[in-house]
Amino acid sequence: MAPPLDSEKGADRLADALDATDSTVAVVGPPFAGRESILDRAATALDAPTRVRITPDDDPALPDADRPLILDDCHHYYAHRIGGFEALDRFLDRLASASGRVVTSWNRYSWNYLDAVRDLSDAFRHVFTMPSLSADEIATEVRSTVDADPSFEHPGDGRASLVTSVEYRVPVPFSDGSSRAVRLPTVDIDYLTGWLRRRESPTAEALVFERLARLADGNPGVARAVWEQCVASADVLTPSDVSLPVERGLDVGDDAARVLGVLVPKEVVTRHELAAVVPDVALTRTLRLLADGDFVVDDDPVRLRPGGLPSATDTLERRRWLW
Amino acid sequence: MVTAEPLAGLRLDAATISGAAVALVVAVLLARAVRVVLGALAERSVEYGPAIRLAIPLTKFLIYGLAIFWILGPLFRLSQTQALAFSGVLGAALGFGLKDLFANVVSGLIVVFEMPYQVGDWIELGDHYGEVVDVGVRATRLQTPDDDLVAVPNSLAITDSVSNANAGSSEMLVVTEVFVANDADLGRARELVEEAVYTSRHLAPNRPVTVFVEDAPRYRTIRAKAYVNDLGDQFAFESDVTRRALREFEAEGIPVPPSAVPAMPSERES
Repeated sequence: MAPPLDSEKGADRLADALDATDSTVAVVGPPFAGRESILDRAATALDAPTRVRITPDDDPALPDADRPLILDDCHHYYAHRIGGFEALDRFLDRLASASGRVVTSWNRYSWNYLDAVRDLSDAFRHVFTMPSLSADEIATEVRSTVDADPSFEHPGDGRASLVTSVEYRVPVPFSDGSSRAVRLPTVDIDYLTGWLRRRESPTAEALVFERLARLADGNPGVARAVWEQCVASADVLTPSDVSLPVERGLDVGDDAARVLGVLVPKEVVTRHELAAVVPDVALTRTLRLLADGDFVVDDDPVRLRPGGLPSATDTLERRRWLW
Repeated sequence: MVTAEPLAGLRLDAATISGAAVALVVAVLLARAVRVVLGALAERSVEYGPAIRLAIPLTKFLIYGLAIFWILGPLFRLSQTQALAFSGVLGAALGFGLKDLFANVVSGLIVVFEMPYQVGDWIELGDHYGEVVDVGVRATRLQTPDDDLVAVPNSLAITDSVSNANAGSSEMLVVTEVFVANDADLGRARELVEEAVYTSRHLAPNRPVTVFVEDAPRYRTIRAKAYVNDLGDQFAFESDVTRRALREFEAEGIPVPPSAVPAMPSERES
């Protein structure tokens, strides 16, 4: 299933954008949302295009644009440091003089940043963004890619309920900063969303996918990772069995957050680039910490894990480091 | 002269005094609890922190006001003569010793309701610059960049000028200055400072950045104006931009003004 697209600028549909012989197209989406499959669709529509995946090298490739050109992961054209925009500026100059069709894909967080500091959207005639998927779309997506068929049940008395409870940690005054946990009744947001969508009490299966879509922020790549973890550990699923591999409220500390601040907008980063962007962070120790917390694959290049993305974005948003 | 007779109706017994003491203690504990709980909530959110902190002084004044009303209400059921005598005593006390205290309390109320600053703001009050950590009944407490806690009388907020760097916002404009020699490549130096700003992790998203150049007889100043994403990071931002820009200046051979200050004639002679 090809992910849906929203038009931000230019043509309403990708097919219309590809009709013009000199169109420049940007497809913008969050990490793991399936940008590649959108470019697959563009490759099918174009006549024998040259397709290049930009890799996180020090000097990314700048292919000639005499044929239709498809470029995956163009966010690797910049690095978040002084002097890190030179390759991007060269690419944008080349793009401005291109005579053929050029279709590119970008990480959403990199795009937002580069649009603010380099007016990136001005360089493209058509800009498409990938929206969050609904629970039904997430269900279709994960079932089409993960080979598992669990059964579904409601927890407890076997009935769905609008009311659930959450654990809330209360900061206690006059103590050493400790907190006390209390359980508070609250509305089950998944039940409510499911009921509003269907106008009937949602089934256990519907609640599982509502929860999956909510935890994954509608991101199919993250949902797939969560789903794989769920079906690997249980044949019978209740909504409460669906949980992120990395707890959302987890705070990894400033140094690790700085590394995540480089990784989330790039998804894959070489150790050399990381060392240049965060020179005063003890990289080996910090990457080990992040790998132990399931945020990254500690290799070279370092890769972001889909299951850790929601927690990583929360960490960065709390610090207002995410664009 | 005030005699004891007009105040004879006052019900000053052990129970009244102990009740008043308990009420005061409860008010103090409650005000502290409110400060801790709301402060902890404000710490959780950079974006909504200032709005939450705004409630701290308001709640404190409300708690103390209710406590005083609760204590004084039953205590002073005064007749007209007693009220007159009491106002005379109060007037004399204010005139002789409590004038400043009274001015500070009233100024504190004005600060709470007029809000020239609030808890969490970075202000310059009197001779002190720092973060407002508490607006008390008598004084405003500032945490200076050197981590000193300064209690500035509230009356200064009314009689003196107050400079507020962020005015309740979670972002603050910070001006960073970097100096280059007169013969430096000014265009390149400006680009490097701009990139140092754009790549600082302290930069607030989607706020304008301005970099401009000023000329002076002995050097040129590159001045960058940008918003930081956390009020506590203003000095870290300045340091980060300056340090990385100077490192790039050195790498690219962009000269900076000589840092050595020529010795004064008297110093040379000695």
